[in-house]
Amino acid sequence: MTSLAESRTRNITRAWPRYLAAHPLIPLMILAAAMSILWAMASPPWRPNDEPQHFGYVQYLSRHHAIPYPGRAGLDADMIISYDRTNFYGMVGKQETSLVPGKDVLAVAAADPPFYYALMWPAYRAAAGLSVEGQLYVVRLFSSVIFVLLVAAAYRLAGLVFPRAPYLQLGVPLLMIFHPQLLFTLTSVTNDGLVALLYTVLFCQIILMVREGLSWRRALIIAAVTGFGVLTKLSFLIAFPLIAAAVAYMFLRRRPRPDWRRLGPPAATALILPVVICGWYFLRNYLRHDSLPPIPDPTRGLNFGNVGLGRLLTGTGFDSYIIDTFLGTFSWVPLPGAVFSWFKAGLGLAGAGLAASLLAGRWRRSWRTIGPGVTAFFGSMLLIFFLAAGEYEVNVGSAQGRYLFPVIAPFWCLFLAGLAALSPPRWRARAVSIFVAGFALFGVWALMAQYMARVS
Amino acid sequence: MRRRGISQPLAALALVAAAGLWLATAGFAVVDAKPDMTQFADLPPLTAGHTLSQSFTAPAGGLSRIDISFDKKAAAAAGDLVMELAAAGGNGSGGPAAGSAVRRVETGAAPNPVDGTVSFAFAPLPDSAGRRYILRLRLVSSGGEPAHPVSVPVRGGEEPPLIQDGKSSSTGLALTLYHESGIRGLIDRLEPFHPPVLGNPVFLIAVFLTGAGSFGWLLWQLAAGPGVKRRHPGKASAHM
Repeated sequence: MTSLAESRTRNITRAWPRYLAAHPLIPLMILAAAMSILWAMASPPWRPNDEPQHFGYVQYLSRHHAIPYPGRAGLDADMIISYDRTNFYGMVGKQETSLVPGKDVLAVAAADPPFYYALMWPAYRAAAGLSVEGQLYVVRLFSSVIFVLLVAAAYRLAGLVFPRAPYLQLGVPLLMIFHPQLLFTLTSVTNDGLVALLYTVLFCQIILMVREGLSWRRALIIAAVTGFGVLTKLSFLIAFPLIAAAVAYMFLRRRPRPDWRRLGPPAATALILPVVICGWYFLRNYLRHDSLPPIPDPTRGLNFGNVGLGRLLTGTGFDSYIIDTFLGTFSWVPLPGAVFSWFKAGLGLAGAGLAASLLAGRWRRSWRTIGPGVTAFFGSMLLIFFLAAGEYEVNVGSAQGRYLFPVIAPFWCLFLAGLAALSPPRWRARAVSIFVAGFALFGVWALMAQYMARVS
Repeated sequence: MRRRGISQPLAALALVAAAGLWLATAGFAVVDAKPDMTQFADLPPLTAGHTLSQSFTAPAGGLSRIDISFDKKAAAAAGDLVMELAAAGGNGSGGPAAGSAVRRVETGAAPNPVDGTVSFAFAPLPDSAGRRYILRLRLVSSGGEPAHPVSVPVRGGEEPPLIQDGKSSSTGLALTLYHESGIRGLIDRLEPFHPPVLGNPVFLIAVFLTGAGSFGWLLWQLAAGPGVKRRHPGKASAHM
């Protein structure tokens, strides 16, 4: 005879596999959290892109109770001392630092709005008793929560785009979890992760808006996401024309017929309320510094010379450079040449697969992996961000593949849908799982390489 | 949901076991020192029949790989590069001396296009810690593009200069040294700056194995999930 407790335990033991199978988001988030922790601990202090400046922003907020401004705020001495203590330059062999406390280096991050840094401030304060490196790791870990949420948002987006293809719904977030440069960047102290998360949420809302209509609730969500997005990074300003274009499409389409009275007020709210949410920041800049956005950084170094956008995109190898820095130039560990070549070939195959899927899908729906509307939407967003990276390279310099991370979820949706379309429908789940497994091996290799490359 | 074959918990457990076994037995090539590539300078091209020699001190035991940097903007070299490693003679003259080769590696001369390095991996030298070696590099080619090595300033004047065709130089080849290590070698890199718990190896290994289990579970769901059994998975696609 079994007791009630034993019976309950047995039931739970039997039930949890079924529960997890029905809720794959749970193991997905556990995996994302595990990879975030491992990457956050793997990267030596200050090595990820501009991390000293982003951390310095949080430090500045805490110590000066003010928002920094380019050219008028610098790193404090304790961080510069930490550069030497953590052998920051040992990684590249440089022997000494010429940084000046209070003056140098913060300029790049100081041009960003304060929302992300204000979110990180509690973690910084909670770690007040630790060394500056200890504080950095705690803030990194707190920041990594954003990556876990991004994975959840990508799962939601893939669910909207591929409602009856669970292998694609799972495949997209899994590829993001094993994408080395994404992990390297988003598990450091940087506002790139929050921008990517807010953009992914915005894409979900826009798809829902076009499919189901614009309710007041959805308009308020879109407005909040856009407003706080602009307060995170100025690249979120692209959201305004995007929302306007989606609203215009809803007004102009024939089916369902647009109801001007019902659609107009929430649409106006979605476009105007974000200005109210983020407007104070620009007003403050204008009143204090005579400039609505912060004064741009001086040129940081043109990798391809002053050649103009057209020549940059067509004749300089800029596209390969963007692919390389998109996939993984983490901590100066070189990407194996074979991986770069395979990925480039994969891009071509995915493009061919998408075209084939759309063409074949016109007469046989089972061959289509993704709808033409979503393809056009995601493809145009990718193109816009690629052109924006080129424009940045021409005008400021040092653009990188991580500038495409705001559209990371749409990118992997298109990539995976294109590759899956190359196999017959019955084989797609297995084909996707083999690709994901191979990419995961690469991701784990990159993680280990990050640990192996530490010089501390 | 009924499935044939192994279950998801078993798939997760199998991946945890595989990950644990791999961590326990795998060797990891850990970086010892990286060159200062902010101050590199071009050397004369290395053509077939010519040799570059450079001595260096291995900082750790188990020396197993040396990466040499080349000018990545130059045309890729044709042919193979041969690297020989010999114990230094210890004659104190300041230049590389002759010695019998303890390792010899031949590999393609075209550098990695991303960072311009050519990697030479070899069986680990277990007693390399603190020992001086001479590296000899030559190009084996029947014509074509030469190799374009770069040089960097020698740190602290510790190592004798680079010798090229009998002429010495005040700079050295840009070498990145690696030594073979197990999981312990990786863990040792973590400890100095991490806060409590987060730098604990047991914690990090547990996190790694948790991730492996989750991935095993998800991969099985992905491969054998409900998407496979649908008659018309193509109807799954969304249409905006």
